[in-house]
Amino acid sequence: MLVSDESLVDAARRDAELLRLANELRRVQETFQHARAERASFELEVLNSRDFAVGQAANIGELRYRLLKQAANYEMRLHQAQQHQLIHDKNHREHIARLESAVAEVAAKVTALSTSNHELRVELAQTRASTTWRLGRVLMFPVRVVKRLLRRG
Amino acid sequence: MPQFSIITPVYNPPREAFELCVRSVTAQTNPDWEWCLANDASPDSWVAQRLAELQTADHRIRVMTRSSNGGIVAASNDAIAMSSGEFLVLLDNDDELHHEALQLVADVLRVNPEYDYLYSDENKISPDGEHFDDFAKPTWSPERLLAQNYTSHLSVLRRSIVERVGRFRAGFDGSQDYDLILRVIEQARAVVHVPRVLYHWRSLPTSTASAASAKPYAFIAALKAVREHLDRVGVGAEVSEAGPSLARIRRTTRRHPAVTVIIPVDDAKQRIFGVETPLAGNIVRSLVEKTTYTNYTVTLVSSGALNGERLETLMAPFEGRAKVVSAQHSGLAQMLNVGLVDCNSQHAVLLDEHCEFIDGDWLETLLGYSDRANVAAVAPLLLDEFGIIMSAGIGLTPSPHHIAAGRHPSDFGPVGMFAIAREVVGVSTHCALVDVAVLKSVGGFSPEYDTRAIDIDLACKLHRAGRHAIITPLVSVRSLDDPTLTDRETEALATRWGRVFGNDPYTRVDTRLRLPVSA
Repeated sequence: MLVSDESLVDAARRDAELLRLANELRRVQETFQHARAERASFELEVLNSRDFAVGQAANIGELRYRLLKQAANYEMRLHQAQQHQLIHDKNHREHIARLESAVAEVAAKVTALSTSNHELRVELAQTRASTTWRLGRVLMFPVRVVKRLLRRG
Repeated sequence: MPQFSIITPVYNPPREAFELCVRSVTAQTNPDWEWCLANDASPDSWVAQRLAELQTADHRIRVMTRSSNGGIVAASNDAIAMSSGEFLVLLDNDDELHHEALQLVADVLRVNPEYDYLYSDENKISPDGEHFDDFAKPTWSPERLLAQNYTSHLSVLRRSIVERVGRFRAGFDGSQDYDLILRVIEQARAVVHVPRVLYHWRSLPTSTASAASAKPYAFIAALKAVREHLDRVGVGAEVSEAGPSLARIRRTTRRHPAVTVIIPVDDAKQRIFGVETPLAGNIVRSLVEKTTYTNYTVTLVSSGALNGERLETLMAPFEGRAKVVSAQHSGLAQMLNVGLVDCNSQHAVLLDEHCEFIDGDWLETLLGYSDRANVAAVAPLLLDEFGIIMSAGIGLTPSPHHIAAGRHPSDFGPVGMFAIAREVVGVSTHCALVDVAVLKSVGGFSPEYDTRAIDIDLACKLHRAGRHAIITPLVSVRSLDDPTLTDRETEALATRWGRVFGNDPYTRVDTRLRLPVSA
């Protein structure tokens, strides 16, 4: 069977068109695959960014929690220190009051003793100035002399 | 109208215990209460006499006497009929309230008046009057409530809802409270846990406080109550016994959503039962051989260690349902993130190549929980190659750890918690069904932690976003990788989440295995 030039030309055109379309399809498929890979990569980035955001929020939450916990701890320790201070101050004041009271007590005793001492001195002087004491000394003079001699001998 | 109506059916209580019960009510620091006591025709004559005395002594105490014994349900309903308070407080005739119970509940209600049901922690009182066995309950955990009546005492319910649901029902004797609670939560706007021991349950030889098996009829009624609850809320499930007072709920999934199984693959090998095995090939084989669910596709996230030919071999068994995405020079967190980004389905299974499946219906079972509110992840029990638990969820009390690690699967744990499906703050992602959108919303896995610390970090991120996870012992997965954290990893996590450690709302007890101290 003879084939006309026209039909040969048509066939060649068709083949060329098919080849062009096949190339086009391959390019589109490649673009599609590339776009899909790019999309997956973007989605992965979104996923990682979301995780990063969640992670950072969690880190901040944890830091805030620790900060608050530490602040509460310090607050408690400050409160305890204040309580100790109050107790210490109170004890200290009570101790000073006790010491002051003891000092006053001792001072009163000293005063009383000094008064008593003075009274005894006065009484002694009065006794020595009395006639009975002087008479006694005169009467006892020989005895004192004898005793002195005996000590020397 | 008082704020609280205390509801107490009375039937021949031990006299001394009843007097202590009376004292605990009259000693309440909050005076805004009325006490409705229904004497269920107690044969002991002192009961009626004492109740009459109480009624005369305090105008807030209201007593009715039934002409014949009608049982606990009828007596409780008679007590409710007398009540006028905004909230009903359930109190048994031989138990005690903490003296601040009503005040603390009132304080919580002042913060949010929308709470329709409140429950507190509880403990037991021995016959010698010693308090013991404190039950530190989890925050509101509806999945756990299906497996056990963990809320129990103290229960405070809005009266209008109790009236709407028809008060206590006959036929549930011994579990009438549980049945009422299940019906109330179906209507409640909000439920809240008061984390304080406000109820002291007297442990008598005949009471359910002393032994779960003391009243077997109560457990049969409890299973019936759960079945009816699930029917009412339209959940198809098989309810059976999981242990003493523990129910096993196996949901029969009607939905078959598309699921993407994301497996990060490397060129790792490990000795499995003495045989050097390439892990990637092993997990693919296990997945294909065991999985009965069909609507799933597989994404292999390649670290670049496997060449194209080996990747083709790995994909071959899935017959066109598998693909490979590349995450070269990435750590575990980033590999999982690449898988998540590529995922188009609502649900994905994160699967570590160290795993092997044991149960065929693992995916159907996990999917059964996926539509529960605020659930971000569901996971099976993770066992080691000798069948010992590696992880039954993540606990943060007192520090991050894998719950029940080192225990045998037959160990029920504190209050039976290891034997039931329940809410946890997070799960190991060695094998976990996750809600892809929720994981993406919190930024997926953090590349800052390139070890299994990513699971704890994710749990904390989900918790911060108001989400939680569910662990189910209905399915188990074997893992050859130990998820235990090192002290260094815990320290690194503490810089982000230290404030959460020790404050796990779901697991408030330390579940770490205490090994005996060697001589």
